[in-house]
Amino acid sequence: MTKATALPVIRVEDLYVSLRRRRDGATIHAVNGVSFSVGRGRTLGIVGESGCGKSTAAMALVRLLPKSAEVRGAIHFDGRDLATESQAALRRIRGRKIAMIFQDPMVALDPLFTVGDQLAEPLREHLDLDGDALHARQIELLQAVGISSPETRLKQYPHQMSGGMLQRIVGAIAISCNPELLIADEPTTALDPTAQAAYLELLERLSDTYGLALIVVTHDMGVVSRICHDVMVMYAGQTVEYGPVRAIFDQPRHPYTQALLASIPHAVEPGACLPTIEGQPPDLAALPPGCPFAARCPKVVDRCRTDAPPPVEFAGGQRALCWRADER
Amino acid sequence: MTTPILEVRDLKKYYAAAAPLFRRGERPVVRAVDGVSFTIPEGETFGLIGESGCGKTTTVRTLLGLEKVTSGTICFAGEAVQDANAAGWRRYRSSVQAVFQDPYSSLSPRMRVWEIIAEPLITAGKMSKSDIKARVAELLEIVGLPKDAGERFPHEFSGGQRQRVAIARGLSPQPRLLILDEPVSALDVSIRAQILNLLQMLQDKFGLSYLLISHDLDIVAHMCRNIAVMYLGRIVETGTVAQVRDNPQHPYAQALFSAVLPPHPDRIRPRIRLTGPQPSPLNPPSGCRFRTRCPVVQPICAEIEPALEETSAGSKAACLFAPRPTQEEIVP
Amino acid sequence: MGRYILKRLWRALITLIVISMLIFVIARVTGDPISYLAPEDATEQELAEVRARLGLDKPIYVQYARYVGDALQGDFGNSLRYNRPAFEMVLQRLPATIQLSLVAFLVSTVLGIMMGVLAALRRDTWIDGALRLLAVLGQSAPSFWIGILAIMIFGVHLQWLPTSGRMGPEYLILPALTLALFSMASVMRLTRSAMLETQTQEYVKFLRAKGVPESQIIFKHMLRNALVPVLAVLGIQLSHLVGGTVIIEIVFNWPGVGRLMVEALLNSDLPLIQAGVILIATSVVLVNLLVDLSYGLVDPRIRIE
Repeated sequence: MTKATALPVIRVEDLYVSLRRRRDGATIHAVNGVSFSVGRGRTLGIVGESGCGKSTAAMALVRLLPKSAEVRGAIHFDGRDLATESQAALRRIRGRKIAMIFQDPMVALDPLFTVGDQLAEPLREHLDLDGDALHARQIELLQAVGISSPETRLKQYPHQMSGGMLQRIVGAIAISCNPELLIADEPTTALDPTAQAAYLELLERLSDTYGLALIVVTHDMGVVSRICHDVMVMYAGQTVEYGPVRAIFDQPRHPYTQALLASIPHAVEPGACLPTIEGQPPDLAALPPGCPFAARCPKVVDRCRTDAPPPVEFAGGQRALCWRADER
Repeated sequence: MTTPILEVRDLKKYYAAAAPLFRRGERPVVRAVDGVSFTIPEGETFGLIGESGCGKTTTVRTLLGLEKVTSGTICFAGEAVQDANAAGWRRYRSSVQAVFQDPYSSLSPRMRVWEIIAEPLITAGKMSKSDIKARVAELLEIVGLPKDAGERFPHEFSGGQRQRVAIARGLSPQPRLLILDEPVSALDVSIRAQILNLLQMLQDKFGLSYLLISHDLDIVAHMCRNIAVMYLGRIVETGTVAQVRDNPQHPYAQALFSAVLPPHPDRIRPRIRLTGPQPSPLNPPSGCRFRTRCPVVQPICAEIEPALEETSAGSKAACLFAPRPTQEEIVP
Repeated sequence: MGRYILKRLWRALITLIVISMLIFVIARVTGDPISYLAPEDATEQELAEVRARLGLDKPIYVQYARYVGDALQGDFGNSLRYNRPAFEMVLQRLPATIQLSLVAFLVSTVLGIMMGVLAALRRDTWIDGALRLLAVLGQSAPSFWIGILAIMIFGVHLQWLPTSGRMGPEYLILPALTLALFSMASVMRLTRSAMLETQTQEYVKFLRAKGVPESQIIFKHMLRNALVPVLAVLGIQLSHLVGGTVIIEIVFNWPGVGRLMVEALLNSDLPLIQAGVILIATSVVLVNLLVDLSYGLVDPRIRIE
């Protein structure tokens, strides 16, 4: 049974983001022509290694970027184009229709204010709740994420809570105003295996229960295979492969995706050599022409260095940007 | 059987916590490591896994001499270490080196790479300057760094390259045992593979032994022969990777391995959830320490502290209900 | 929290005891008070009589015991120069000094924090540059020079403000501002860097993602977090101010304890010195204690221990 509806919750078209490097003022092309969409109740994983632009792309959706950033392209959400809306309009969307959570729940909250106070902030700001109605909603939210004795918890400070509890508090804050889209930026990177698994389960449950569209930004293919329906692989600011998770895992078409999947230790005999990708990612301030992966690609041909490959479509909605994508 | 490179027996490290203001009596004690024993045969990789607060970091610090042992023995190549004299201690310290997790903070930013790598040799004071320079050049080549890397500073390198510098530093006094504390967790996936391969190659080439600490169970399974699972200062299960990962007997080990992320969306397994309060090493639960969170806990678990004993699966587990090889036990 | 308070009280007490001993010893080591009191041609016998009368011939520990006993009752003896109870004299001048220090403290704190926040928010702009320049000047220029400059400009040339004595509120302005300059600069710099540091904290990113208005993020969250380290410095500033008004009092002829102390030292007026130093030390210790306790108000992590 598919939960996808015809109209996606968010549709990004040809997103470009450039930032200014503080050190020398050079322009960094962090995101170069990325397109994707996420439907209600669906989870998209944006996966790639550090510097590939995935976090920048995610932050660009709600325009949480430094002042020097330039955004081009279209971000269709709720009948508007977020790429052109004013910052004031976006502030009303952040936390209200699009929620975002980050890496480490232990540092997500201001240590000087109670949990209740910080949970109340979006409720006051976006929903104008106050007094009893506010309190009732706070209790409801804490219960929804499985926190016992919510009354006590509201009066506590972040340092009095364990990591697992803070995870759930952050989740509660995220869904507090009934958003349509939840973006999780590297939500599990700092965590232990059981904490990681619990957090992913929480995200999954929130998405199922509230019909949220969920975007998970991660470098871990295990996270993708656990909770994502679709995945977009990024490299040097571009999408190199996109499609349903199963299709990508079963038959990755782009050499970078193939290399990523092959280098997971699970895929290899214990003690044997892990396949690696030689070299380094390119300097985003000085991108070479052609395919950004050409310098490190085991399947590179001359054409790759001069012409940027167009997307090649496959059955089931999979697409890969590679001149040799349709070879076996 | 040859002497194991490292034999740890009943290692304990306790810290005194701040005494309460008006109460008489004993000062509370944090039992960070509470009776840990394991053996590493020479030339092998031993994995120590567990989650935050289990005591694995304290164990490493004790083994490196950064903390004094409260009780227990550490035997390196047959020689007891924990109360060795100065000469014995120096021998030990140059035979056991470490590579840490964070390549961004484990290298001094004010030292050039060659100085960082040469530091253990300079401190030992036994080699001439030209010999040291030659050794540094040799090490740079072994770890796959360019010759001119020596003159540069750490911040000029990427995370993976810095980790190579850390490895070169670890290798410089020609140790026999390398303690690897989350050596690749801070690195990208494609770089991890490179570093893991390098470590494997170095082990094959120099006959090194490794103690690998990681919470990434896939990496541990890939690199190690034997592993031990720690919980709240104790080892709860130990055995070969095949035994412990594929057939864990202790409920905590079972829960831990069930939390591993699947390698493929079709292989998502149900996870064993742990509920109940997290105990503190200041006041561990009576009997079995895991009982407050154990999904199959029984009343007797609060009274008897289970010892690490052989199970029918071949591994050793500290659980009263793990199936034993010689008796018929009732498994709940 | 109780443990925290008790520790601080205990330390405060020890500090005061040590100071009283130090003063006792130092005052006796430097200068023989008798030579000031008795006339030039006094005989040895007369000097011995005076000594006996003042109890200066007893063994040192007896003198100390008497001294502590008397001090606890507020009796430091009479000023050798003025022949009035030393304690009363100091107490009489205390309000003037307290007034000066407090006003200077308030000015430096309020202005310092405001300037620090402004500089942080407008980082790397000309405003930031100008403020930081002001801070450097404030910290490097000696206060007496600033004071004299202020007198020349505002008192002599422009004739806007009075420059000597304490005969009305307008007399407070120049001395307080001059005194405030140095600590204002420190407060400003510290506030600025603390604000910049909070900007990089994860919770700020999350607050923005929640859609909290920027003004709320700055003034409710960032400022309060930035104030935690600033508070530590404020405490030190205040205690310096209480004890450090001497130069300003002299430059502006302000009738405070500082000026009195200088006179007393020049005259080796033991009782007066002792009374003054003890009183100042007690104020400083009290202020520090209050500041320490106020951490608990601002930072809940300390409160709940």
